[in-house]
Amino acid sequence: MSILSARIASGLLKRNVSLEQVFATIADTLPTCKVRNLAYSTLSILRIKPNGDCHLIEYDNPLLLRLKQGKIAPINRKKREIAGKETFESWFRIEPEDLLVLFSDGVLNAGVGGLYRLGLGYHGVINSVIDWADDYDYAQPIAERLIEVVDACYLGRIGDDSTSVIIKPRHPRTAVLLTGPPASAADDREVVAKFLNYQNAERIVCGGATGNLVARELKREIKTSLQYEDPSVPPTATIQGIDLVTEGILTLNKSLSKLKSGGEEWRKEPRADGATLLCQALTRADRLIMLVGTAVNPAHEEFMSSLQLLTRTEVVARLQEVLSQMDKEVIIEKY
Amino acid sequence: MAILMVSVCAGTSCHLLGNQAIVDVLENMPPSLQKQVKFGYTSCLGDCGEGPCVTIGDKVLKHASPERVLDMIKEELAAKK
Repeated sequence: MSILSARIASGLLKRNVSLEQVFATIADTLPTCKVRNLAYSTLSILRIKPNGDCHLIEYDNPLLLRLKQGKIAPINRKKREIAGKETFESWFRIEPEDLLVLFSDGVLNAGVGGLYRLGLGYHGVINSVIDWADDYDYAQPIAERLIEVVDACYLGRIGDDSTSVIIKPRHPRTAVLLTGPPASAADDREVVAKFLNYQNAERIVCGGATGNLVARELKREIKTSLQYEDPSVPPTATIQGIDLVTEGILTLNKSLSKLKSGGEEWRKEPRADGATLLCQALTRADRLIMLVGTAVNPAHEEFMSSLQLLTRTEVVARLQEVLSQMDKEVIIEKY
Repeated sequence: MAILMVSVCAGTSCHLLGNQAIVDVLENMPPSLQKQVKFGYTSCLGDCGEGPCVTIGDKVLKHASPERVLDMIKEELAAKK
């Protein structure tokens, strides 16, 4: 039911439905004990706007924790009745380096009567999270480690169900990817100049001829690595001032299949083949600009169909679909 | 002793046409050749329909095979003497 409620809430919030209405919609469906009039289900809904403004409604859940520079920053809550439920409502603003911790009562009570007389408690949660908050630049592993602590508190046995959500705000990240030479060689210089104009973005080049083009315009050397981390992916290269330089068609196709697989192994992959590095770079970004050259390499056409490879424009369009599903903004410009 | 530079194209076509076999042979050259040759990958040489391509000194060997690369390295080294 928690997954269903979360899906309903996120769907409504995407449609700009107000937080009160979202809460009321879900609250109406929550079962209550008719004898004791107690909720079987509890709920916290948080909306964060791009400028960091937060609106939070909590109903019978452990209270959200806000950490600023490793210390608790209390939130001013007000009681408010919504849809017949007594809730806590709060408004606050978060900034980069803050950390928000949301969790279910299974986390708060972890180990009760066993490892801890009264369970992990707020202090246990805070201490656990503070210890690792600076170890990661994204939230997922912090949430995973909190659940590992909970599992340890239950001594690995089945206990109460436990959920943790960690939010680590940061400024949006942009990446710009240049792949393929333009259809007309006369546009080479203009397209490369456009690519290089992105200063506060991770700059990625996919393609041998494209790499040569960028190196030529920058008047810098392109150095190709001798290391084959994965025999199915050609080696990467380096150009001073460019963050990632990979081969084109094979690397893009391989990256697409990694992203579509649903697995996350490539996130932690110690190997640094071009496709793994490209997946990591694409998913690091919140906004992606893909500058796609449409020149066709006749030598590639021969093997494209026999190897069931997608063409450059096809693979880029599929990447746009997959990355958009990850809530990334993807802009494609063709030349 | 002059060193002979050998660069194996790492482009898409050359990769699919077996450039790794050429690098394997270069990595396992006899010590007498190893001393006289420096090799590496290079970005796409642009002769995508005629790969694998390898530059040996200032010459480009197209449709290269490990054997042809080794033969040409020996020829170039002999010519330098």
